[in-house]
This record gives sequence, structure tokens and C-alpha cells, in this order.
Amino acid sequence: MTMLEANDISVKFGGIVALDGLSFTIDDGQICGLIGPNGAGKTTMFNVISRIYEASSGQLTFRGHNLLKVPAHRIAKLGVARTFQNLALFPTMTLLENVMVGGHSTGTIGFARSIFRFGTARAEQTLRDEAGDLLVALDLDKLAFHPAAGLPFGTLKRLEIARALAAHPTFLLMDEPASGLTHSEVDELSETIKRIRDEFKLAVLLVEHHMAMVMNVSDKVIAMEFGRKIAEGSPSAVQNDQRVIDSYLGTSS
Amino acid sequence: MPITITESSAQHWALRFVGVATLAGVAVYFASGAAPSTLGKITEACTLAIAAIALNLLLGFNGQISLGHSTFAGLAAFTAGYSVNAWHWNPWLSLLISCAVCFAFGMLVGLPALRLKGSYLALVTLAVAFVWPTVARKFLNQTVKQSTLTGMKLKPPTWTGLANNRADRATFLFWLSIALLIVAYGIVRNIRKSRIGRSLVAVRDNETAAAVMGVNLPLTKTITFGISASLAGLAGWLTAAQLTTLDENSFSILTSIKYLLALILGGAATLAGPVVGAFVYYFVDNLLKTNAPKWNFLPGQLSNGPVASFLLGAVVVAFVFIAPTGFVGLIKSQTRKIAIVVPRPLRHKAVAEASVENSKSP
Repeated sequence: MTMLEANDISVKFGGIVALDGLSFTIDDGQICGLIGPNGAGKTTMFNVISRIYEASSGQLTFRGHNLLKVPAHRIAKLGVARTFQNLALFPTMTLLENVMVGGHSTGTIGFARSIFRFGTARAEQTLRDEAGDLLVALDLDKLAFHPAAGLPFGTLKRLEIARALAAHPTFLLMDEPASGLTHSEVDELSETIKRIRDEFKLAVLLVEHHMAMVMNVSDKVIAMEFGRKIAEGSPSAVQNDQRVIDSYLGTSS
Repeated sequence: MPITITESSAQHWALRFVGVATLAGVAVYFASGAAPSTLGKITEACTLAIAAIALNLLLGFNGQISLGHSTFAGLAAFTAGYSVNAWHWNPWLSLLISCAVCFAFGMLVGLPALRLKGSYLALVTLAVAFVWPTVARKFLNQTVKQSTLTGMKLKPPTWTGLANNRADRATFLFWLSIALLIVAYGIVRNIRKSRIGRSLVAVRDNETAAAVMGVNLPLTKTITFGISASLAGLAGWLTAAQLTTLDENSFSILTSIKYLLALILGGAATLAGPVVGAFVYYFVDNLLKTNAPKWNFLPGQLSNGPVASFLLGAVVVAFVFIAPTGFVGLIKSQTRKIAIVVPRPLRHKAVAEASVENSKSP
């Protein structure tokens, strides 16, 4: 079933056209790779979906909701979570707290109730338990009470994933999760992505330059160039598409 | 090897109980024996602590700077004085009204904060602090004479058994300031330890990520500003209760700087920081003012009071170098050698691990 439908999305920054009439769909449980050279508009598309950028035109429908009308802080509640390319963690907080903030959208305690501690204990405990489980699932539990600042990059990348999962998403956007990781970490990441897709019943939109990984994990790949879609299909079909080879992959002789 | 104590364990509760009991004992000791002037000083330190707590919520936890907190305190003090003296309201009712007025005005001042950060926000709030004395003076001249704003006519309630003389009034205000300090501390502590508190820190650490996690940035920031302003209002009301005459210069920009210094000295973004900082600041300042040497070689006006201010400045600068994380950070790094409080472990880890193992195998 179609979960996300992007229809003719354009984004302009002044005179620069970052996205030019991009259309695609993502189905439930699908891992969709988004590839293309730098500046093709992949991250821009991400930021449109996570409501950081405003689309100039087009429609974006997520499970029947017009996503372009939803404020940024509501998308988590709808089931859209994301990780960031260059890490956007909360450095002074412990890993556990980072993941608990990830679950912010699942809670309902507001200012008044938190001041009077009215019914907060149980909600806190539930959130803490769930966050703890996620830390265990991503092998971060030994660092649960360590502040995020100063930990290795690969660890923090996993923390980004744990934090995103805390929102109980049905759609996870991952912006270059493999960047800055070592070879073994990338292999591990591929397994993690497939595992969390199955375990948490997610669809994943993956922006990535690491071709081996994209082709390995994706059910479907979309190739972009200059803000437009140039190819879409199964990993092998996109890999052999002449335009994709010309503009991005190149020929390995 | 330091002793490890698990958070919320029996040992931890015992430790907390001992701590609270010691503080309560010190308070009772002072209330029973100290001179009214000493009690007055502690009351003033408590007032400063409440204001520093207010600023800590906003600056320490939410990362929004305000140099306008003196204005909130002033607004509360004047609202209290005005409603009690001009409209003959009950002083206790004026406490609620003052905090409500400050909450509303705080949210209003918080609006530019949605667009501004760091030094730009500091400038806007600085402007508020600068405008306040002028506005207050104008308001006083045109409506009522300053004399109608004298004091709060706050009498010790009969159940306390305290008379309305100077000594008993001092005792009463001493306990009142401690009670309000506990309220302010409790409010900020409860916020910090909740979902909302985490979202405040998240906004401070990374706004974009916080929004993506579902934090409503405009709402969170303005309400935090409002709560912080109304806590500063609590301090202002308490000041009004201590003073016999209010004048607009009681709440100048220097008062805001004082709040900021108390917070930084104690340790921003810690719960105890503003309280410890306020007491340290107040009593160091007091000590220097009464004992500062006379430097007669300095020209004219610089010879007495300013030497104290100069020394205080030197102490502050030195302290920032010795303990960049504040007094509380310094204490923590020392006590850590004796005992550490560790968080409760995560729940049944073994079970969770097993479920992951199962999901791994096909």
C-alpha cells in the first residue's frame, strides 16, 4: 500500500531550483534508496518531508495527511522520524535522555502537569524502559548514562537511529547513515537497517552515497540529478540505467 | 574507591533525608537565635536565590538569555504595592496577581526570542531592563504618589503566633522567603525531571532536532519565558514585602546582572546552582561591603564602596577560572571522590537482549 506520495514537488531558494517537479511513492515496509551526485536535491527532499524546508509547489501525502500543511513538530506524531547527516544530537544529555527526547511525541505531559508532577511517574517509567530497550537493541546500553558529547562518530550514528525509533515511527528517513563509518561499521549498518525495518515494521527512505550498501538494502532506488528524478526501479535496474551511469555512477573499467 | 549509591534507592533517600534535615536544622537555628538584621540578610539571599532559579530555568535549561529579569521582579513588586495600597487588596492575593502579570509580560517579551538568539536576545531584554525605571517613574508621577506604594502591609498571620513588631516580622519574612524558595526550587526541579524539562534542554542543545522530535518550539520557548518571568515576579513580590519604600531604581539593570552572576557562580543548568550561587554571591558581597579596605589613594568617590565592587569583580573573575562549572560543579567533583550517585539500571536487560537475539536469527 502506498504510504508516502510526493507529487511534482519543487523547492526554490531565490533563483536556485533545488527540486524541480519531483514525484515518487513509497510503500509500507519498503526500503527506498535515494541516490545522486552532491547537489542533486536529496537532502532538500528530506528536509521537505521533515518540514524543515517549505516546498514552493507540489503535493506531499503521507497516509492521507497533507504533509505540507502539518507543522514540523507534528510529523513525529504522524509517524515520520529522521536521522541527520551530520548528527543533530543533544550533546549535554546522556544517551538515555537523547532517546527519551526521541519519544517526546509519544507523551502527553505538558507544562502544568509536569510542574505539579501530576501522573508523570508512570509515563516517565514507560518512556525510560522503552528508551532502554532501544539502547539495548542498538548495542548502546553500556553507555546509557554517558553524555553524548565526545563519543565516537559510529556510536553517535547508532544513537541517531535509536532516538528516531523512540518516536514509534512507521516511516524513517535516514540521511547518509553510512557517511564517516568504517567498512565493518557499514556492513553492520546494512544489517541494522534491515533488522529495524522488520522488527519495527518501518518504511525507510535512505539517502546514501555508499553504493554497495544502497544496492544491498534497498527494495527500490530513485536516482536524482539537478533536482529531478532520472531513474526509478529495482537496484539492478537503476544500476544499469545509462543516465545514472553517465551522471553519477560512472563506468568502472 | 568511591561508594556508589543507586538513585532512588533506600540509601539515596536516606542521604537526601539527612541533607534536608541538616538544612532544616540550620534554618531553625537561625530563626531561633539570630538577630533580625541577620535574618533580613538571609531573607534577601533567599530572594536573590529565587530570582537566580527563575533565570536558570530560562538560561540554564532552555538556553534563552534574559537581562530583563529585574524588570519582571520590579513589575511584580509594583503590581503588589499598587494593588495593596491603592486598591486595598489582600497582600496574599497580590502575590498571585503579580505572578500572573509577570507571566503574561514574560510571554510577551519571549515573543522576539522566537526569532533572536544569543547576544541579539540579550540586547532586546537589555532594552526592556533599561526602559523599566523610566516607565516606572512616569507611572508613579502621573497616577499616585510614591508613598502609596510603601511596603506590603504584610502581617504575620495569627496562627504563626508572631506579633507585628520588627523582630517577629523578620522571623516571619525569613520563613516566608524559605517557603517561597522551596516552591520555586520545586517547580523548576519538577519541570527539569519531566518530559517538558527534557524538551527544554533539547531546544537549547539543538533546535532543529528538537522540532523533528515533536517539540513545539514557539510554545515551549514562550511558556518557559512566562514561567521564568513569574518566578522572577515571586522574587520581586518578596522584595516588596521586605522594603518599606519601593523606588524604580530598586530594579535596575544592575539587579539583572546580579541574578546572572549568582547563577553563573553557582552553576547554570544545575538544580542547586542558583541557590548556592545566590548565597555565596550575597554573603561575599556583604562581607566585602562591610570589610573592604579604604583605599584613600584612589581619587574621590572611588575610595570606599567601589573598592568592594572592585574586589567582588576580582573574586568573580578568579572564581570563573577556578570553577568554570560553578560552585556546584566544584563541590560535585570533590564529593565524587567519596560517593557517586548512579542512575537506576535499565529494566530487565536480559529479556530485552534475548528478544533482539531472537529477531536476529531467521
